Amino acid sequence: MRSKKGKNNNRISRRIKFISVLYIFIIIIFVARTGYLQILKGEKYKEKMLSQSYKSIKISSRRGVIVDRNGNLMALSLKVPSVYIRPPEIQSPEKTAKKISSILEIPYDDVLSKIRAKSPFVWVKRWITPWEAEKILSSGIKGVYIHEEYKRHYPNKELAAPVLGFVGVDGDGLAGLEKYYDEYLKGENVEILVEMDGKRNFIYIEPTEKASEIKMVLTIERDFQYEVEKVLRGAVEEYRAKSGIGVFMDPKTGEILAMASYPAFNPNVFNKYPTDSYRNRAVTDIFEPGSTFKVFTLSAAIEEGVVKLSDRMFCENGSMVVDNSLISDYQPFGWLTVKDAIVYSSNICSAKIGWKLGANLLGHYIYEFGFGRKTGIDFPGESAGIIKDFLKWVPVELSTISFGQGIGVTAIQMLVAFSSIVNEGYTVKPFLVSSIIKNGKEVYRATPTFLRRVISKETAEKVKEIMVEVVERGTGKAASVNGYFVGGKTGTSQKYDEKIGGYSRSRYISSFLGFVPLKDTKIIGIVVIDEPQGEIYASKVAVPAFGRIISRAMSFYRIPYEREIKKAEAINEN
Amino acid sequence: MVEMGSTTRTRKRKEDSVAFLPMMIIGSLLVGLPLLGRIILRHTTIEMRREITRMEMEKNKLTSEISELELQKATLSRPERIKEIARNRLGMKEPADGTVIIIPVIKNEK
Repeated sequence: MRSKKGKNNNRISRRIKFISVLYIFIIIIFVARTGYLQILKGEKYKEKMLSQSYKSIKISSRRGVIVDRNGNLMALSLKVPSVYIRPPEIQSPEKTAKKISSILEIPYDDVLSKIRAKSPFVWVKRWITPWEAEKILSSGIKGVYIHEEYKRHYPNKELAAPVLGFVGVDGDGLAGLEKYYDEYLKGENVEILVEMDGKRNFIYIEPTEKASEIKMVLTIERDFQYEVEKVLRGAVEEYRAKSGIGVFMDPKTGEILAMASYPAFNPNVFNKYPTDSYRNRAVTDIFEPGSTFKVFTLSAAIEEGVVKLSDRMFCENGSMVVDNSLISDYQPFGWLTVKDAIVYSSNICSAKIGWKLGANLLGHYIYEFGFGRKTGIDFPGESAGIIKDFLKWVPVELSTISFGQGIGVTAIQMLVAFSSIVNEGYTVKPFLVSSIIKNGKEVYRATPTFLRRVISKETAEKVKEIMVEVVERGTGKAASVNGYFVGGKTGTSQKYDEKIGGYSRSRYISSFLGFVPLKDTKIIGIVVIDEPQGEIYASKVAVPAFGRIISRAMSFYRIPYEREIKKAEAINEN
Repeated sequence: MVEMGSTTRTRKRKEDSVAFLPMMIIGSLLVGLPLLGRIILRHTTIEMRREITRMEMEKNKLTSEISELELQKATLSRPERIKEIARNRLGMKEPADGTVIIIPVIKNEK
């Protein structure tokens, strides 16, 4: 019995031993294999695992927002759906085309031709409405997909449109500040890591904090811009003019407070407007300034000491012939002081001031004021203007350039040159963008820059006072604003007519260049009306527009009165 | 004597065999527990990552909604629209020059 029992125990014991050895052997193999996979082949399998489980996706950052100086939104990008097809996946092109065409309201033939395209991917319609996207998705058409992409929105529509510019369907800035600051605004493409399960479903998407939040702050103030545009449009429409420009700047810093061009366009649907309306005329368009330019001739003459304000000059009773060319005034003047020659805007006396300076000196000052070269404003396509080399001027050119004919300038150049008159002789560099903020950090800040000193403080103050007299008793009376001393200079210039090979008698440019208030000047500005009909003189066309704008500006910027206020009258704009 | 010796050997073998059992259990636990732990950890991580992704998507959706509302606000506060409402619905008029008196701020006033 015992022997049998002993044999059984023996067998069990052997089995346990065998299983234990086998178990240890399996464990050893398991550990060895794990070690082999983890240590020797670890890197290889890690890479393989990562490539299967993780995918790197490139996403583009949302285009930066644009705000005015007070934080009001000017441009913003939002995700909107777009429809695309994969033609190889479409089994019934006709049926699919019919369905898509009815949902998206686009011609059947257009859709069909896109489906028949030998391309793996074709856009059908970009930037569709959410309900159109919903219809497409619920229709369950094979091979038709929705992709969300960013679209630029300009909530203020036409407001400041030529300054802001616009972006194309691919989100690249094509015009205006959108183009100039494209590199900042479009941000960077961010690579994010996505983890997937065996069925390629997303398990984890790396948080996108890395995608930049960009904000571009303009120097422009939305509400003032609106007022400038409204008045400008009113003036252009009232005088059936071809176009208009209005620019207003802080002369101490160079910040552009408002920059308007009319006609403008709606950047949300820019392709529905003529390309001509895209131009920011203040920066790109060249015009002959006319009498507004006399301010610079006078400044140069005073600075050089060739004239004194009390000097008397004979204004030839309204007409004078130089090199067989007739120079005339809008009304005959006899003897005038230099001061009155500017206040009453005599071309003949201005030409005589130019003679006293001579071509070399006048040419030098013109260049120093910044004409014939770009101002450096942060805007694409700036024009340098047109100035003939002063060494090649003939006497009649010296005469006409002295009163602003025969020279091509831009509105922004005029403002920069004019900044020297109100800035103790220094010209200032203009700018439209004050800062760019990326993820809460300032990555760009414009610093006010004085370009150069052109005239002395004394000369600047003398010219400034004369300009106040232009508004008080001269051609700029309509620019006066209750409670302030406004200074300025009118300009009515003839346009060159290529057909007749000379200056036109029917096409004019009416402009006004001014500042307010006299002490501690806060704003300088220019209004230019191109080819007004009926009235041509600046005193009737550009000056009242300037006055209306500047009156609004005083309220906006809460500039204290500097003189006695006349009795107020209610304005009825209806 | 022979029987006694056989019994002792059998017992010894039995004891030896039984001594393997704790080793087997410990070995199983040493291998099995970390594996189980790893599986549980992985599962929890995946679940948490799914949750983070869901919340991230929710955040993106809300950011998108905020942007839409900002756009709507900007559209509604356009100066042109405000002016039109003020004039046409509320019967307001532009103040004339001199109606609004701006009082200069005197700095360092005690």
